[in-house]
Amino acid sequence: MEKVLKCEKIFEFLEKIKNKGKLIAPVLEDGIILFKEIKDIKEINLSYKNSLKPPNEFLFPQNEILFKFSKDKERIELQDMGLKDNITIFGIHPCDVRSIKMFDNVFRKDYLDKYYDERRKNSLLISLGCQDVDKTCFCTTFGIEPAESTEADISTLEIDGKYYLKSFTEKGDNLIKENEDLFENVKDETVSIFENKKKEIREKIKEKFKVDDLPEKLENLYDSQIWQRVSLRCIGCGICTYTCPTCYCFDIQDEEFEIEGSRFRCWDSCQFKDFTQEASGHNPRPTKKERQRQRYFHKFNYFFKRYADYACVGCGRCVRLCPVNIDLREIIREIVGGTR
Amino acid sequence: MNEIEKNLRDAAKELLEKKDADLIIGYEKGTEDSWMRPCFVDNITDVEKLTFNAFCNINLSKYILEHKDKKVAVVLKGCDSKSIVALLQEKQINRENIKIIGISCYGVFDEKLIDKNIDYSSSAKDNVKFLRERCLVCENHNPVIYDILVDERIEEKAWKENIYEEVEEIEKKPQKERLEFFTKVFSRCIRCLACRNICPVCFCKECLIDEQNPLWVERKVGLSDILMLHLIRAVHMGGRCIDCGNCEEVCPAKIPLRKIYKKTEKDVREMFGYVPGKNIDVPPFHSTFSKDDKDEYLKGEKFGESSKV
Repeated sequence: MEKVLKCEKIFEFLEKIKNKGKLIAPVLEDGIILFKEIKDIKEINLSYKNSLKPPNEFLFPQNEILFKFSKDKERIELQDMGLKDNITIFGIHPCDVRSIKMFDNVFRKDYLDKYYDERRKNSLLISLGCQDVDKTCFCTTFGIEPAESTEADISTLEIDGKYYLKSFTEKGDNLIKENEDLFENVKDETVSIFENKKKEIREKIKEKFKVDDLPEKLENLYDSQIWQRVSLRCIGCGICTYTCPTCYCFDIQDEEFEIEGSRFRCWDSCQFKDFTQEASGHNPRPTKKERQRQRYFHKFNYFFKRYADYACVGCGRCVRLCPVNIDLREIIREIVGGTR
Repeated sequence: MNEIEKNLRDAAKELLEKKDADLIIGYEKGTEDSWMRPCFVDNITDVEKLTFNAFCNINLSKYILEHKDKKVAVVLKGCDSKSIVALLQEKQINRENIKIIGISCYGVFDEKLIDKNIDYSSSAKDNVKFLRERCLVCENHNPVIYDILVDERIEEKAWKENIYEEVEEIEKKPQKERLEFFTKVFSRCIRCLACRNICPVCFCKECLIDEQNPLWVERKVGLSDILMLHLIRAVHMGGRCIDCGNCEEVCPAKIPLRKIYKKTEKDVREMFGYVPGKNIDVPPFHSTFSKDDKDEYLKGEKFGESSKV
């Protein structure tokens, strides 16, 4: 139902969700926002800008066991893994919801990744509109509305201490129907207050790039000096990739002890030296210059060619967290110009 | 332009003109107000980018290791210069190929503590309450090794009386509480390894943490793997870490890493009387032993008791 509903008792709604299954929501710990499984509704923090790790880590975890194996005399036993729990993720900002839509392309389109698929099918996404934006946010560049996500199951926005909801999927509709008594219809004026609030928040984002030409412009910049210049200060850590909601590279490893073990996948980073290290000793991306270049090409050229979409949602995490201020916005600005 | 900036740029120009350096590694303004970032200058025009203020936190010594084929000049604060001592002791750099542009430093601001009255040009001396914890226990405001000094030497006095106060606070706690604390903070670790990569004394060509054969640490974010990699680093740091504080600053999960490394620093000082970053002419701490070295590495607890959790 695409109509706006009012919910006075949002925490009661969340309590009911928590009692029926796993509720994942943002909590504040030592100045960091983490998405965690909630034991006590009071822990939830809804006035945040960015979490440390993107919430799509619940659909694509940093470590995920694919299967377990054990050997018994001549037989090898395999035990399939995969998550079948139902989870509700509440409080995701629209940029992070977009990244989940992006992951659907990666993990479900050309090839069905059953681990992601199961988690995705068993999850319900309730987004939370941003109230305050950071100077490093630029989600509107990618057509993302900071106050409302039409890509979530349910989208919520707080106005003057009350929560307003819209449902965009059947799953969302059903959840609202199950808790009908907590919702009320809104008057027509409220709908326009809602739209005005969305506009107000959208306009807080000062930076907007015109990225239509970016994939094409990049084609001619493969050998540009930009990459060498930027990579001089890069320390080759995984901060940008591990906090990025659109990054999805992973490694597969086996852990074994005597006659049993497990095969798991773990996040990997194209910024690590050994990412493309080959067994022969050769490394096609031997220096930070090649690895930095790879990142921008992947996000704004290769991914675009494959999926007609950008592997970036303008969340600003890499910009804020890069220890040496390698600023993606600065690089885009240099390539296409900006509105600042 | 202030005095330090002027002296810095003059020094850089002269080094480039006389070909005493092919590359100057310093700081420049970043893309937001309080962000200062490493800057690489190899021509006279770009010298204008070089600047310095109390937001210049990154220890630039690490970058020397990436430019061993050139003559480099590097801008170093008091603390950062101590890393050079370790790198020289361990023969990682050639003293003839580097020129150290030293800066006497009152401290660097902690981004988490500053308020909006602090701007780009605020002085550390007048705003001590916004300084990094690391700066409050600084024993070397003045560079211990340098070729050019761009400002006046300042009085060597730590802002805090007891430089191991934060370590002692944790040491006092019972083991269970200490374990709870470190379990909580390390559970946030995302294994980005920024702490290792920014550290000037972490320079192994193949790091133990990355090594697959043999495999020392699984590529997991389970507590045991995370704690293992951090403890490996901590032991490798003891007697080498000079507390530049960068590891904790770059950590996106705000893990209080310095507490562990400060503890190893304190232990090495107390058990072996060795303080890193002081003397180029002594062999590195880890490569020496003396018959007088104490054996009691399980201090104060009976073996077996301390291994219970």
